[in-house]
Amino acid sequence: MLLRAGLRELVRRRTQALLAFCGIAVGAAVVVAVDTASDSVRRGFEISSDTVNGSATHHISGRGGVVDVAVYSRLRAAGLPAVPLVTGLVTLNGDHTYRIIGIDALVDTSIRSHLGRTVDIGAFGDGGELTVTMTPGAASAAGIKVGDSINIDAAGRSTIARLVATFDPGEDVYEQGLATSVIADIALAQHVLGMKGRLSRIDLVANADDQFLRVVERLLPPGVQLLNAQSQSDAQRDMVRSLDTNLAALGLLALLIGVFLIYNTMTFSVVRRRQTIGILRAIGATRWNIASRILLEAALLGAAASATGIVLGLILAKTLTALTAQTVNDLYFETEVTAISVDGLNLAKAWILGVLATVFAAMLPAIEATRTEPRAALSRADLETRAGRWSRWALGVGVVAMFLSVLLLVVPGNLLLPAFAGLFFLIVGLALMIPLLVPSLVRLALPLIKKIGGFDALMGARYIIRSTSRTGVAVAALAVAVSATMGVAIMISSFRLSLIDWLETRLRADVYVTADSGTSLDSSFVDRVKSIEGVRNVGFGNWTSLASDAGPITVFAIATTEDGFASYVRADESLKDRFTQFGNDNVVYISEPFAHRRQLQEGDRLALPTDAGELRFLVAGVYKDYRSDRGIVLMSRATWLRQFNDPAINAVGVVLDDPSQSTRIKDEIAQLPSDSAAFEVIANHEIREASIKIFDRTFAVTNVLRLLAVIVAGIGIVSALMALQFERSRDFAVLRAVGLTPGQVAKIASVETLCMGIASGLFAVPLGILTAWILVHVVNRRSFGWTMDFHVDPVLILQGIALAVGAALAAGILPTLRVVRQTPSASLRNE
Amino acid sequence: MSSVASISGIRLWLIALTVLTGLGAFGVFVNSVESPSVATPATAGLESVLGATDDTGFARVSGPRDFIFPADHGPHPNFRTEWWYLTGNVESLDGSRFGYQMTIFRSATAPPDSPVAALESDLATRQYYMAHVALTDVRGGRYFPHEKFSRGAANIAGAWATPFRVWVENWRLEGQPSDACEGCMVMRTDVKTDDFTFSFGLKPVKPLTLQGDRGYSKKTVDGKNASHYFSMTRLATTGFVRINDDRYEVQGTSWFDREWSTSSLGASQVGWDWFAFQLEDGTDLMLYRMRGKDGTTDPASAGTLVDEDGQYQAISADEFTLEPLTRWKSRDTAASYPLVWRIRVPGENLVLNVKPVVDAQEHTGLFRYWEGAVRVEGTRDDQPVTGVGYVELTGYGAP
Amino acid sequence: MTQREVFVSFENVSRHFDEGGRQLTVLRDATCEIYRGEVVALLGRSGSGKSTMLNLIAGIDVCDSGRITVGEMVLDDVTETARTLFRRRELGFVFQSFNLVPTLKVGENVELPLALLKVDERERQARTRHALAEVGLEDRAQAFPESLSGGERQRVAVARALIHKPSLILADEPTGNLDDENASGVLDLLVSMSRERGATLVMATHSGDAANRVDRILRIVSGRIEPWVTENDSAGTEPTG
Repeated sequence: MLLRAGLRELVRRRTQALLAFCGIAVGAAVVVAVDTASDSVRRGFEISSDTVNGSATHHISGRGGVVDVAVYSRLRAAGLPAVPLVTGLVTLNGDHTYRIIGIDALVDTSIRSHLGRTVDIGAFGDGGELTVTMTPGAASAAGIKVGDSINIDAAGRSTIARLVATFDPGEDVYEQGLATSVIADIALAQHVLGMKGRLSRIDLVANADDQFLRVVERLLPPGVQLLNAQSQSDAQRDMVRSLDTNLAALGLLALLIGVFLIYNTMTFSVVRRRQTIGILRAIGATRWNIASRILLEAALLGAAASATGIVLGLILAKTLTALTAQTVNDLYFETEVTAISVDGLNLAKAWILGVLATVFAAMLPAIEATRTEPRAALSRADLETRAGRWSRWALGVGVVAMFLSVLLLVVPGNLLLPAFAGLFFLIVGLALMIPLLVPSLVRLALPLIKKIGGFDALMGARYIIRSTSRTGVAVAALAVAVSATMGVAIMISSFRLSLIDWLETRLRADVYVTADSGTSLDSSFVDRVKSIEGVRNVGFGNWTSLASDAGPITVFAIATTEDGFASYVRADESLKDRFTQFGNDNVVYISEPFAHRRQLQEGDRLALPTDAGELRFLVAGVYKDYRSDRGIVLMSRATWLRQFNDPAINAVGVVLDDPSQSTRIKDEIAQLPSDSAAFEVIANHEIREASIKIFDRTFAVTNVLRLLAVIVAGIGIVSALMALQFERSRDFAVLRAVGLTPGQVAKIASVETLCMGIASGLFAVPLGILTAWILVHVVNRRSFGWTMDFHVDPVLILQGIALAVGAALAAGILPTLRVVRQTPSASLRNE
Repeated sequence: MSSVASISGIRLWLIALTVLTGLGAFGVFVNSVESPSVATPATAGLESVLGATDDTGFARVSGPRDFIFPADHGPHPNFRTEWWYLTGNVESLDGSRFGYQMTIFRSATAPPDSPVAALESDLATRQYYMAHVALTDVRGGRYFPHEKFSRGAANIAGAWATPFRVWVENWRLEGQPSDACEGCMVMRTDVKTDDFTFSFGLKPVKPLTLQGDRGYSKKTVDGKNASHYFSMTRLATTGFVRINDDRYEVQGTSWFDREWSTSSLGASQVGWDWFAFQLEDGTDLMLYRMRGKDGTTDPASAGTLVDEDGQYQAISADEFTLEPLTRWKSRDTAASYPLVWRIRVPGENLVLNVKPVVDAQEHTGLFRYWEGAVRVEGTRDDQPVTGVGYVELTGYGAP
Repeated sequence: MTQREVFVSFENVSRHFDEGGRQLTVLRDATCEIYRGEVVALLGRSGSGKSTMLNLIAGIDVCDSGRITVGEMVLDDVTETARTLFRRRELGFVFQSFNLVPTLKVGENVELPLALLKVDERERQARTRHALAEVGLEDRAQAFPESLSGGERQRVAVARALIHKPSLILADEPTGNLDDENASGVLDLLVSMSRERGATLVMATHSGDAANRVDRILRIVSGRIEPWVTENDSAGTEPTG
């Protein structure tokens, strides 16, 4: 019966309830969407790697992610059950980027049986026709029908093959994993990808203690390694973990703001019902009766809203998944995410989280309700006295939270969770202090407000002070939301500026030449470039990857001048010595993310698999690099050639006498003959633009989540202000009776909201800068190992304040209209 | 070896290719392995398999030719199919007896001018290899069949004439010319599987037997289907067999068949029974019966008798009888094979009773057939005679 | 009281409220006249419509049918702004509770009507001081209402209601929340100050105490306004010219 009364109460205050409902729903939706998106991307990754990996337990791979066919022959000749794989990206009919999976169906019967059992191997076809096959979905996605000839482009060449048939891989996951794949005989795949003589890798199925693995290891030449398949895919997955954590943190922020909403609604509901509660207590309801009734109400609200949120979240997840997948594709690895993977457990988790958060938020109001003495309703003054006590208590908790936060942030290490926990505690700590600070801030401004706005303005401003229990929390919530978005914006802009700055430093050449993956330029090409008129200087190098158990290591071996080398080290008097050492000794420089991932610093040793076996290189320095978050190992070409005996060149940087000539020289280079490689010529500014474009795309997800956080906060503020203005309605009626016009009353209400907005904006500034600082110096460092310059753009600060004020004013419109429209006597009649 | 063996080889190999190349057929086939109840294209398909094969662009066998050695020991890549077929019976000093099979098939999937040949890939090839090996441990009553498939590229599988070498991965047959006779080779074979290892030296004790008309072996009366075909019917064999940690020094006799063709089969047989014996009196006898759809013996059935000196004579279908006595039912495939036979060659006054050394010598890999070591005893000119040999039975029940 | 000028008149006024879907009629064809300078008590059971009548007179509520005139002004015919200005200039209102704006200090609360009338700052402060002195609270000007006792608050309310010399004072159970002693004090203050200024006072009340100090008693019975006639003072309560 008590519950029924409570629900009736919710129905009566439906606008309030609806707002709280929306807040929780959006909060839960964001959590669900973030969870689902990162899950889908992870699942997509797993599916696509499972589809290619099959049941392989071990990979054999070498430098540059390839292994010589001779290695495979050697293993097979020894009767070992090695299975080859050639895979890479191709363009179908000039339009669709697909992954070609080249297998040898004769031997690939167990590892990739989902392909082998159904596949029509192209080279086997009647008359030796070149054929490929796909799933029906993959074919129709590329607009290809059975029997069609397909242009397959890769590595600068075009091959025509016929889609001989489609096949059903049997299981849905494989259907997904093959959604953008084309299957071909391994020989055709080698041809298409320009991988004659090379395989992507060799797969094995074995138990860790299988004797034949020792045999395999003995047969492998230097530079080729036997790797555990699981640890390889773990290493890849680990790369996405930071991204996941970052997204999850933003999702939780949205929920946090949702919690505020609930707190607000429930408090309001308690305040409104104080009298009822008093009566109930008087007729014998226990404190627990009252509290449980309120908590139950909250739980029901939370349950319904979270359920709605889950549905919303799943819709939102589509967009978020696409954005996340794009980021993962841009930054990490090709992944096929064609389906949203909905995990019932995740949904249940989000739902329970929503309900718990609601109940948690309702706890304080519930406790407050139990304090209501049976005899009478409390006066506002008593309430505020109590709120004062609460806020002192909150101050205490806030100080503790901030202390905790500092501890968490200061504790060294690379764990991301403590960093986010620290950030969270900092925000909570400061947020808890805001209610205490709000009255003082407004009090300071009172004379000014009175002077500018007059009597009614003064009244509005004083309302903030008078009902700190409500306004303080609203200001805090808005400040938190605004600071979060401000912090993230400052972080992104700092990052962006650092990136641009870095591109400026690093991209010293005017024109770049990159060989298509798997192909190599040679020194005669470099010479030809050098001889072009207007070319001042040419630097070149080779990007490759070395296999390791912790995932592939990207190595960049450069032939550069002392001047070019200077961009990797601090320019000081040691430069000359360092450059000499760089060329002559077995030293490497590592990028910050690499240092971060491998826990290395200057002076440490890094073991790399060279042609003569494992060699421990001295880490001579750590340099700033935003190119790859998995990190780069830089060594001189001389060292590379000494230890690895691989003359490949796949990157050439060309410095011009006159940078304005870059278009002409670009064209000239593009026409140069190259025996062995397909290559691309790119101007400096194109790289810069592409980099920034990818950067912006990467943060698209973040921006969506930021927007959502602000929306939740907006709902919260509307809800809070409506509650406040509702409490004011009797006062406003009195004022109307005294002779204030509706406009004047509206002004009072507006001044109140405006002041709250300004206060939120002001509080948000330090909080936002602090958040940004932590994001830049702690979270980003721990996530990716990047250091960046901290740059606070005043425009972003002003934007933040404007957002706070704007949000508050916008949120104030509805309550103010209500005040204006309401016949004053109605408020009085509620007496 | 006999033309029946050849036919069996062709048939298996063509089925293999069809199964592997026909879209979806591979899937159906694998399914059939998983559940034998599923209808398989392999049994249904002798006619369709042969009918479906387009031989345009391949070299064809059109009449007798002079063999050129050592080149003709090596591959003939422009013909569609080819095989090296080695079987034998060996015995250790302590009386442990073994049968072995070591057969390598080559098949070209496309004619020489196919686009596959132009691919820039060291794995591109028209040539595919299949190897079947088996060891029969008579005393242990055990039989170990194994198979490998491989493309004939990147030195993983292949065939060379000089030096002579035919291999699939680490199963090898190698040899060098011997002066003992025209085209003779001294060979060795090495096979290692999870179950056993064997290594044999093989030395011919008789000259080559050219099958049919000087090695031109007509498979249909009209001569449209024919092969080039010769054999070494008796090879003195020495070497060792190892099963687990038990090693046996052995010696015995082996039989080696060479045959290549593009189209060599008529289309109306359901299976065949093939017999090759080396008798103690120095005679080698090969007989085969092709079973027609209606259960009759095809007139193309035939045989060859090689005497102690290597002189050989053909035996036609009406010159011998094959009488199945007892049947054995495979637990793996439910096929029922006649394993005990009485053979009569009236013209030679020869009666032989044939018994397998072990009943279960059925290949249960991708292709199912019975191929096993046998002992024979009987009479020739009323004198007792014994011998060893190999029998191949196909087309009984499941493939 | 020679001039019997009608100041407030109700002609067949009806007012309904929606109460949970049911229509509740508070006033039904109510008719009455109140004369300028008169001190009138309004009696009636709880919910009988006393507050509604006061709200209608103040123009913070509007009737569903009928006609209400205050002075020269027919309330239903004028705009909300006109009604507001009328309240600002001519009306003082004292409620049972929650009279004071909690965000204004005591002095500011009293000063509020003057501020609305844009009275000069100095004069405003002087008059506020004076008004607070009249109700005996000159030393509490800087306090916020919450620190005052119930009686003090109502005295502040009286001071605010009268500070701008309104011609009409409406009091809705001004002593309802007060103990007898305080109630009597506030009532005295309200009545005497109204009479001093010649203002018309309409006061909804329960208190018999109040009834003794007024010129006339009206009562609302079943939605109608009726004169209260008792045996002993039936003649006395009927104002005579």
